[in-house]
Amino acid sequence: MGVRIVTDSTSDLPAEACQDLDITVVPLTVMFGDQGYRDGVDLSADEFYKKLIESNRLPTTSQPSVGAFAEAYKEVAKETDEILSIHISGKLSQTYNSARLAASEMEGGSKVEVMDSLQVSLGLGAIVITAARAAKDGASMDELKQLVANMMPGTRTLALLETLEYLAKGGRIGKVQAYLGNSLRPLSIFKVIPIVEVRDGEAHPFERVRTRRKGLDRLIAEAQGEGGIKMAGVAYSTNREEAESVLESLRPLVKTENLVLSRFGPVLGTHLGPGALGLGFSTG
Amino acid sequence: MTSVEASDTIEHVKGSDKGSLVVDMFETATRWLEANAAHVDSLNVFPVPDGDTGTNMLFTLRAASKAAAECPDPGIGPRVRALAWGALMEARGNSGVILSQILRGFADGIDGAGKLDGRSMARSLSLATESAYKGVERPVEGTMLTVIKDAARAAEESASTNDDLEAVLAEAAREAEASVLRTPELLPILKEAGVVDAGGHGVFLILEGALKGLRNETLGEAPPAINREAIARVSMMGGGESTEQVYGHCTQFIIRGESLDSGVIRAAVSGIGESTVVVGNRELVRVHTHSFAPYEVVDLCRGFGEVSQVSVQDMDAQHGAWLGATSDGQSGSIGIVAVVPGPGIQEVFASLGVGAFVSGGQSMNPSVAQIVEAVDSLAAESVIVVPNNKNVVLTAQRAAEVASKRVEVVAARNVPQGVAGALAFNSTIELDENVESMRSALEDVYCLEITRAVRATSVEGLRVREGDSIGILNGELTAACSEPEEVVQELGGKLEGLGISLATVYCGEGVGYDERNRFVAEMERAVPSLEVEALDGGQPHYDFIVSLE
Repeated sequence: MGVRIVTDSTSDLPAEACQDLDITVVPLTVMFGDQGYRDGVDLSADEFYKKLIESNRLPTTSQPSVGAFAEAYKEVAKETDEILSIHISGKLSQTYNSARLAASEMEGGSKVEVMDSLQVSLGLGAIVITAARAAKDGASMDELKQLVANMMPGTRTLALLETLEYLAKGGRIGKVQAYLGNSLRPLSIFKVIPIVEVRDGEAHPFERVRTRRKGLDRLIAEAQGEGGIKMAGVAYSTNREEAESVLESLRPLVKTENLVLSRFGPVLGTHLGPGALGLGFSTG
Repeated sequence: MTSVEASDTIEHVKGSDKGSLVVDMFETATRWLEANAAHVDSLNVFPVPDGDTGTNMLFTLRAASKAAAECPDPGIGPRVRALAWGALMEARGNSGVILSQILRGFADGIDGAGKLDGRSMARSLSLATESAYKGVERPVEGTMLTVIKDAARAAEESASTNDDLEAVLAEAAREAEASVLRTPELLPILKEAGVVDAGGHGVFLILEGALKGLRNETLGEAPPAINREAIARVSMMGGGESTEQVYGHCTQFIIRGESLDSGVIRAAVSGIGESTVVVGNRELVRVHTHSFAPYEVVDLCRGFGEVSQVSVQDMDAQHGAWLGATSDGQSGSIGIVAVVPGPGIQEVFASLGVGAFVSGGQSMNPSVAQIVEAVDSLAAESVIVVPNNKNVVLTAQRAAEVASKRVEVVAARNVPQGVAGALAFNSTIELDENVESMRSALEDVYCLEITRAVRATSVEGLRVREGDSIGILNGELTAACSEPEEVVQELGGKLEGLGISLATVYCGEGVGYDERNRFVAEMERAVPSLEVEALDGGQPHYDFIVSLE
C-alpha cells in the first residue's frame, strides 16, 4: 500500500490524469445566488461560463467543508493508510484549513499529511501530478513531502486576464490591486491586458500589455526563458483555440507526457473571469 | 529703476550698491527679453505651434531677477546666489534649464570675486559657459551654448586690457550678436529652416538688455539688431555640419560628500567616459557620462563621496543584478508624477496608477518648482517623474536634483513613450527595477504627432505650406499635406514598415467625430491588420498624437 494523493478542484487537472494516477479531487463550491454547485461535479465548465457571462450577479465560491474532506480521506483510507493532501495556497482559500482540520480528526491507523502548495491551478496541478507519479513509483511519505517542498520554489503560475473586474469583485485581488490605478473610472476606456503571477501563495502584478497577442507572446517568452521545465500546462476559461496555440509553442520545451491542456474550473473561473488564459510550469 | 547714472558713477559704487546694480541689470534684461520673446519664440526649426524658447527663457529670467530683487541681504554675493536659485526653481524647457545653468555659473563667478567689475564679469561669463556645457547631456554647437561661449571669450579678451565693466559687457554682447548670426553655419537644420538659433538669440538679448540696464538706457529706442532681414541674409550662406557621437552606457549617479569639487570629478570621469557632465555644489553632485566601463566610473567616484541613485541604461541582466545589490533603493512606496498635455491623457495615466499631474507639455512647459510641488504632493517615499515631452526632460531632471525625496526621471520624450513607461510600472517591485523596466519600455513604441504648420518652411527637403497638416514621426517632420488623413496616406508605407499591430490615437481638443473617424479609417487602411483605438486626449495644438506599437 503506497501513499495516495488528495488535492482540491482548484488544481484544474483533467479527469483522466486523476484517474490514471489515483488522485482524489475534493471539490470547492461555487454559488449562484443561493444555489451551490460542486466545482466540476454538479456543473460543467461550459454551463458554468455560460451562467457567469449571463448572470447579473457574480457567483461566490467557498472551500470544501471539513466534512467533505473527512469523507474523502475515509474513502481513500480504505485502500491506504498514508495520505498526502496537497492544496491551494492558504492565502487564497480556506481549503487548506478545512483539510487540516479534517486530517486532525481522522481516526483509526491512517495518517494524513496536509501541505499548502502556495500555488493554485496549473502550478498546484504540476506539483500534484509529479507527487502522484512518484507515489505510484513507491516513494515514501517523507520522500514525497521532500519532493513537494523542493518543487515549490521552481513552480510558477501566470495568468493573462481580459479584465481585472472579476479578481477585484471576488476579493482575491491582493497585490494586483496596484493595477487598478488611480482612475476615477475603475474600468478605463484605455484597454489594458493585465498579467498576474501567483508567487509566495498570492497573486502579484506581473506585467501589463496593450494587446492579447503581446500578452500571449510574453507568457511564452517567460516559459522559454526558464531553463529545464519538467512539467507545464496551459489553462483557459473560454478560448480553447488560443490555449492550444500557446500549448503548441511550449512543445519544444517540454516532453509531451508532461504537457497538459486544461480548463479553469468554476472556482478559478469566478475569480479570473471569461477570456483568462493561464500558464503553469515547474522546473523542480 | 536704476538710481545709478552714467558709466563714471558705476566705477565708484561698491558692496551693496553693486548688489542693486546687478538687480537693475537683470530687471532691464528681463524687460528687454520680454519685449522680444515672441520673436524668439518664432525662431523654431519645426513649424509647430509650440515654439516657446523665448517664453521659457523669459519665465526663467523673470524668476531669477525677482529672487535677486527680493533678496533680504543687499550684498552682491547673496543677490547673485538668489538669482541663481530663482532661475533653478522656475526653469522651464530645455532653454530655461540651460539658462539657469548659465546663471548659476555667473553667480559662482561674481560671488567668488565679491565685486562686479570688468574682470569679474569676464570670469563669470566663462564660468557660466562651463556650467552651461556641463548641464547638457550632449552639447551641440550652433546653440545658446556656442553663443555664451563666444561672448565669454570676447569678454575675457576685453578684460585682459581693461577692467571697465561697461566695455567688457559691450564686447560680450557684440560678439554674442555675431555668434547668433553664425549659428546657421554650425547647425545645418537652422539654415534650411531659415532661422537662427532661438536660445542663442535669447542669450544675446539678455546680454544686450543687461548692458542697457548698466547704461541706464531707455528701452525701445533701438530695435534689436537681429531681425528677420539679418536672419534671412545669414541663412542663405554656405554651410558646415555638426556631428557628435555617443559611446557606451549612459551612466548617471549622485555623489554626496563634503567640499566636493565638480572640476576634479569631471576630469577624473572624463578619463573613462565621453560627454561627461558633472553638475552640483560642494555637498551634492550629479555625474552623467557615457562609458564602456560604467562601473569603473562608479567605483572611481566612490573615492569622492557617497555614491547613490546609480542608473546605467542599456545594461544587461548581470549589470541589473549588480545594481540591485548596490543601489540604495528600498521597497518603500513609489509614486509617479506625469506631465500631461490634456485631460484625456491625464485620465489614461491615472488609470495606470499615476498619482500626481503637472499640466503642460507642447505649448506650456512646466517649471522645476511645479514638478517639485507635484512630487511633494505624493505621500510616496520615492517618486518617478515621466515628462512626456522632450522639452520637459531637463526640467524634470533638475526637479529630481532639488526635490527632498528620491526622484528618478523616466525620460519619455512624448506621450506614447510615457504611457508605455507607466504601463510597465509595478508598485510591488523595487524602485530601481521599475525605473529599469520603464526606461526600456520607452523603446517599445513609435510616436506620430499631427499638427498644423504655423508658417511655410522647408525641413530637410520637405516643403511645408502654412496651415498644412504636418506629421512628425519619432521627432522628425516626415509629411506635410492638407488634411491629417492625407498625412497617414503619405506615410502608409513607412508605417507598415514599422511592424506595428496597435495604434492608440489620442484625439486633440476640438477634433470632431467625423474628423476622428476619417483619421481612424485611414490608419486602418494604411496598415492592414492594425488594431486602432481612438480616445479623447484633449491636448491643444496637436490634432492627433498616435502611439504605434
